[in-house]
Amino acid sequence: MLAALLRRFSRLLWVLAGITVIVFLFLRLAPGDPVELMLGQAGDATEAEVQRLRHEYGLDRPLPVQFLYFVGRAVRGDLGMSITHQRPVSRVIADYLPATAELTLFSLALGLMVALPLGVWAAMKRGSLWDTGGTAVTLLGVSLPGFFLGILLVLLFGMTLEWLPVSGRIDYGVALRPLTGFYLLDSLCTLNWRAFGSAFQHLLLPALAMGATMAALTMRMTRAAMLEALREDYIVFARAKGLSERTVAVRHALRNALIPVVSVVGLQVGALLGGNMVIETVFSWPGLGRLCVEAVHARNYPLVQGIVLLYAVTFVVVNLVTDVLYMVLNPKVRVG
Amino acid sequence: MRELVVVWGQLRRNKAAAVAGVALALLVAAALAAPVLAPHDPLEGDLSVRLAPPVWSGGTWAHPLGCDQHGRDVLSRLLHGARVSIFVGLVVVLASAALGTALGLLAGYYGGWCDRVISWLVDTLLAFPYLVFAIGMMAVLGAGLVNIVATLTLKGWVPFCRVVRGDTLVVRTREHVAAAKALGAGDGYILRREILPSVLPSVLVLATLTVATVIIMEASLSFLGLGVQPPTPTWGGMIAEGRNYILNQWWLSTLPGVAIVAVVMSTNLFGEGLREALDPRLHD
Repeated sequence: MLAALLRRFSRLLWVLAGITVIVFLFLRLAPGDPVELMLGQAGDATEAEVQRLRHEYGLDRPLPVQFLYFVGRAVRGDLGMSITHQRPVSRVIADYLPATAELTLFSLALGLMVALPLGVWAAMKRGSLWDTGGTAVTLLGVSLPGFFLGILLVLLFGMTLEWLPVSGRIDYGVALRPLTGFYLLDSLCTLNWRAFGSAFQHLLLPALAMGATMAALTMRMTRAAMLEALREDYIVFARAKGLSERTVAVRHALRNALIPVVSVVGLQVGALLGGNMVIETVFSWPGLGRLCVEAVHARNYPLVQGIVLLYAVTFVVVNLVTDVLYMVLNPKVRVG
Repeated sequence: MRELVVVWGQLRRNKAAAVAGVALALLVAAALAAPVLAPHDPLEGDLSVRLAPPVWSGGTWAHPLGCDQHGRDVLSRLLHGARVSIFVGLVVVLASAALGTALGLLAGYYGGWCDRVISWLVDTLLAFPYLVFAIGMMAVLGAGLVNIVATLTLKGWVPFCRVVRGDTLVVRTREHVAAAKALGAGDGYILRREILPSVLPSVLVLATLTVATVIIMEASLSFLGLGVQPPTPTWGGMIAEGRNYILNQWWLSTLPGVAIVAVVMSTNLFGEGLREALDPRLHD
């Protein structure tokens, strides 16, 4: 297993190098001079300033040298200046990151809480009405674009029934002392139940819209993996021992069925990261996804570059964790 | 030919896939015939019928699905929007499949440095979530139909390459390939005549399922204002424009959304049916 892990790590380093090259090229391919883009209004800067920055960022050097400069700065967290904020990109990202992280994690948790039990249930009731209904819902979940589902949720639960808020992270007038930037966590830590309730309500609709496709795919995968596991000899043996169907399913089949599901969930995190750009726009969620879309419209290339880099690195790391988890969970890989 | 008949028979037996196939064919026909079928010019507005409701909500048959905020006929815009979605879906998938298959064949057949470089490119591009990559690229290239096709293809070839490379690694060790080599066939001939036909079923299934992904991507980009620009009708753009009227004129956003779901669902069902029909292990 150690050899497999080392191989995986070395591949990760190559992939990270590739990501850096592509993200580096983003700013170089963008129309206009990179320094003028960093300065925003080129007219505000003198020629001497432009030349100084050009030298400082190594833009007067050959492209490979520029790339090394870029990597050196990126490693230190220097991703340039956000044109519209006139602040370092890394600081702007740090401000918006907790909102996106909270929404993504909440959506993932919500999706898994729904998908895993339903997937197991559908497999245990194979061929029943429940199973057919579940399959139909899965198909719908996979076919519904997140932004359209978001709009439907806004229309139904936000505007028609008026049960849940449809924009922002917390109600106006609700005070919350920020500790981590994760509102649920902050309100729990400070025992601020009013803020907790408000933050929870604000999270529900965007998390549902974002997690629906992930939940549908996970449910489909769980069902297939459970059906596969339920056909194994050890399940026949467990049944022969007289164990209840529930114990057989949860204690024996599910443990093995979860192994392939872990891989699918890891891959789905990528879809969640992409999805939050659209969902945050629909729900006016003050996170990185919406910020990125606004940055694209404002031609704030350094900020777009920084966010895309962060998303790609996050996705790679999540996949690495998933792979390691897969190796740990799967006895065939662990022992072999 | 005999295999085609078997696949066709399997597809016809799978009712969901058959219905989905017919629905898709009708949708494509409607999109192609949009200039004839559309009752009005999709770009021309008439403020006297601004926000007119659909026929089931008290509207008239002159505008069966109502009108938008500029008095443009929703049905006509839906039909013309289908052309954009289906065009982008098909062109991107064809280009991605061609590029991905070619690179996958090269990587799988030659191995060595060729495989390492292509696989590295595949791994790197896979690290970018599709929509994140597309938004980043659209930021650089700017909005527009050609740029959407280019952006989605730049990332779309990756799964094809991965699948074809894997299949090629298996097929290249088969006896018919060894026999062709022994008879003195060149690499080009072996790749075209011996390996390509064996990997095509996987490509076909992936292509069908990828159309759905590409249509959702195009709609998402248009929804964010990064796709095809107004006034050209696109389903994603129509949803975005209708959002401001969602409470009282819900159909403006909902109808294009339903159209997207119908196409994506049909494509997914048809793709699944095709996968089952092409997989001999799943036949009776």
